[in-house]
Amino acid sequence: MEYLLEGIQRALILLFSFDPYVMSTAKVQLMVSGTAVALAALAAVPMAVVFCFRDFPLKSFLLTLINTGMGLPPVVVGLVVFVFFMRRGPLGFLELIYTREIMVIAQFILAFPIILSVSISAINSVPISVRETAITLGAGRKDVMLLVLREAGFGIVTGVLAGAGRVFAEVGAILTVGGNIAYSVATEQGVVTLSKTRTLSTAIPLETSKGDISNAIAFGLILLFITFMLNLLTGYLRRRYGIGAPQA
Amino acid sequence: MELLRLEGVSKRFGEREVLSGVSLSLHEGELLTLLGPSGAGKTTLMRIINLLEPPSSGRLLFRGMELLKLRGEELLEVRRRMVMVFQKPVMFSGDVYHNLAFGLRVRRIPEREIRRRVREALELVGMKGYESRNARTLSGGEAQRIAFARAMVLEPELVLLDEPTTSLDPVMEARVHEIIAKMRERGMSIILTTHKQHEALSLGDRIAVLRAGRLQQVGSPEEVMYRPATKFVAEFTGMCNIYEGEVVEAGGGECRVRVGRAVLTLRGGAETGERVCIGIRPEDVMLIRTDIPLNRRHRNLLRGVVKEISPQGGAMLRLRISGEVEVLADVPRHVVEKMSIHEGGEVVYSLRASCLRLLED
Repeated sequence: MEYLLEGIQRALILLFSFDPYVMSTAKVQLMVSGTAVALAALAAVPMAVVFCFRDFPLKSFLLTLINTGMGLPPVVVGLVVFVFFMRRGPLGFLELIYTREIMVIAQFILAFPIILSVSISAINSVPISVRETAITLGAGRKDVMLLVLREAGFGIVTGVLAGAGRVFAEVGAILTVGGNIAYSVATEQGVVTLSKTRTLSTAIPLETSKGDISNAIAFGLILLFITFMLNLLTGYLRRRYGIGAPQA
Repeated sequence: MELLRLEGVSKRFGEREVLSGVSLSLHEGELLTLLGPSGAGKTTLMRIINLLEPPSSGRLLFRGMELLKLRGEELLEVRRRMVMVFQKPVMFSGDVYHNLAFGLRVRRIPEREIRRRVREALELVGMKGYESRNARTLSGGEAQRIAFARAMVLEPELVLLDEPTTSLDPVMEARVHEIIAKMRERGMSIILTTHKQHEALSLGDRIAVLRAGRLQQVGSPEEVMYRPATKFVAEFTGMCNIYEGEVVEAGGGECRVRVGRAVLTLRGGAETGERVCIGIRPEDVMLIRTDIPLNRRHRNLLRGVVKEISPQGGAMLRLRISGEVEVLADVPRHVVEKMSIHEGGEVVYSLRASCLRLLED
């Protein structure tokens, strides 16, 4: 038990002393996963609107595809992205392999179907009577759409947070395409390790296998904190606005 | 001037015909009640008028414009001149103000004007100061009134009220009727559906009776109540004494119909030997005093025994009389007391010839 207590103690010291390695790893995680979720939400929500308000060929086929996408194994996504972007691959000329950009691409692919699928069901669960009330009150097509989006707001936010939950927790995809790279630089305080493509979630298995439990625990605590904040945010939005909260 | 006209409107859902050949018109400032049992097609007809549902066939004219031929902006412009209040109003999430302002915002009315109109509308429905209340936490009656305010704030030419009082208690119902009166003061034309005969009769300038998707009769409350065209209309508007009989004599604008052991005289043309349906409203059954000589002018005089006396609300009592012809009679309480009528007592009563009606099946 002693090593555990010691690990936690050292982890807290690392956290509160803003250890450059820990901080840079957390920063990479937030940048990569945050950007991936934001881009996925920007793409998925308008697409959900199109799915819910328009009919087009292959719609139900595409819906099945999206739902399948929700369960994609992150490692496989990482592999596919890797194959496309490796030097000899069709997109190899972009030279994105082992960069933060390609990590964003991989996580985007993971988050997008979740946000899209949850948003579609949130929009579809707005009762038809809401649309009809809006129409009878004189709303045009666009007004109805905006109102329904507003009514589905809570569900959509839930979808975005679910997408965030998935990408903040996954290891396989970013490990495969990002390479879990950190580098050392000499500073006045000595040699400092900084993250290039290492994230909290990819650092934990590495540090554990190296036997550096305190670093792993510090990373774990930050990840837990992020997840906790995401949930707190959900609850806050629900209480503050009550928008799109399921109708009593 | 005619505001709305329906010509031969039909609607089928798959094999099921919900409306067949409904033709109807509404004049400016008029309140038309659509009376019928649930499942008669009232709501479908309202939804068709509000363009939420296309009819399978027929024409809809709003101020002479053919609605089903309009598209795009033109259609939106006409649609914005009418509004429907649903039986179970839906509140948008957010506050009451957002709910009332919605229809005005989509019409690009300046926010200052919206604030003024919202305040005014809330006052009209007796809910002053409710602007910032969460609309989803309102009670059923409150939501219903907000739904009315949300419609009135738009100052529409035509308001469609779908069973506005069905789920309300009598106090709330009276309030809703007051709000409807205010809508009329503001010159709005109204179509109101209901299955309550008293509501249809007291509110409507005209009543249209709908049964299984077909119009049975359109007319003033008096016409529908005292000259029902069919047996269904008669029953539905409270004519609870309906009999089948055979015409035994006819001529001179009158006929005599045998009902059970009695022969009743009534006005109307029929052929001798024909099977007919006749009816009389309970308030048209007259009790006759027996302590003074019988007036020879009373026709259709019958004898019977009072089986049951039950209050009807207000000053009326309902008597169930069993005799030559079984009948329900609504009689003022003071008359019952004055004539010392009691359960089990004998009475003489008249089914007045001028009030007995021949009814189509």
